[in-house]
Amino acid sequence: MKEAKKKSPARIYLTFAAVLILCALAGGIFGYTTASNELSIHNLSQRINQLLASLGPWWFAPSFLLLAAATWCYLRGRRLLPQAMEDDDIFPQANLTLGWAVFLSNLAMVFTLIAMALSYTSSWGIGCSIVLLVIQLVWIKAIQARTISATKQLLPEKRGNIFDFKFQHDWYQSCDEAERQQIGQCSYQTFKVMTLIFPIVMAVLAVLSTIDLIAPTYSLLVGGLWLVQQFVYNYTSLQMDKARK
Amino acid sequence: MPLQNRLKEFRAAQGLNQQELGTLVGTSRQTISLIERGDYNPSVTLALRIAQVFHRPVEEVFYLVEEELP
Repeated sequence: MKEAKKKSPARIYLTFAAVLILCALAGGIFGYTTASNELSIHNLSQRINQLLASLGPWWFAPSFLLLAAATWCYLRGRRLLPQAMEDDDIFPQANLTLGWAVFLSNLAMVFTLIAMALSYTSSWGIGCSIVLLVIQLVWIKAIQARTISATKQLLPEKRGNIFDFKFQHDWYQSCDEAERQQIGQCSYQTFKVMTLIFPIVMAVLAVLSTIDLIAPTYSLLVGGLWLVQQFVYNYTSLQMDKARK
Repeated sequence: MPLQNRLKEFRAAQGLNQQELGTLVGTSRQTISLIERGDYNPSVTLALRIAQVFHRPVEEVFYLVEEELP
């Protein structure tokens, strides 16, 4: 494991000040450019919206590609199962391949819902979008259920049914110390990335709302999501501290 | 100092596979695989349980290696 390099406090403060100045400058330039090009930005926004809507059901294409890749990973993982049960050297490969199937199907779920939100206004009509949405949701659930079932064959101690609303809880309960540490690291990484993204998005929304390009509801929505994230993380941490007392 | 182990060697000597060792020490096959590959440092409890299965002192199964200075 790598040890963190020690930085001098002066360097830390200088870096912080430099980043602060750079962000202020970028915000100033962005705000000024937005305000002075209000009309063209409105036009650009309209064109982007038209372009997004014109793609229609094609928005579902990325999810289909991701689902095809997830299915391929699942089939590959399943093919490795008999060998992985016997051979300890094949086991990590089979486990990783099945992990990829879950990862790709999770991405497909996000893309599917994005596609639904963006495609309904197209000339193809909402009916076509709903049919594609249902096909993809069924495919996602089927591939996830099959992958979890294959993973359970590989790791018989795993518990939980993907169609049960308590699946994540049951799965976590059947994880041992190494797996729980991995889940903790992944959650921390997610928190770190989202803590960086939320303020940037909020700043951009604040600038865009000054020219009425973005309705205040969007800022409220993003702010609300940020609030939920901060609350859940900090409240959970406090509860854990309290339990240790 | 990185932690290394002789898990694979002792496991083979006992004729156990990863799943069997995992069951004996109350952990998953995945964790045994990670420990053997040096990708996970077990907790003291787990290290002691593993050493117990092999009937060896824990420092014989897990040991620290001095890092070479550049």
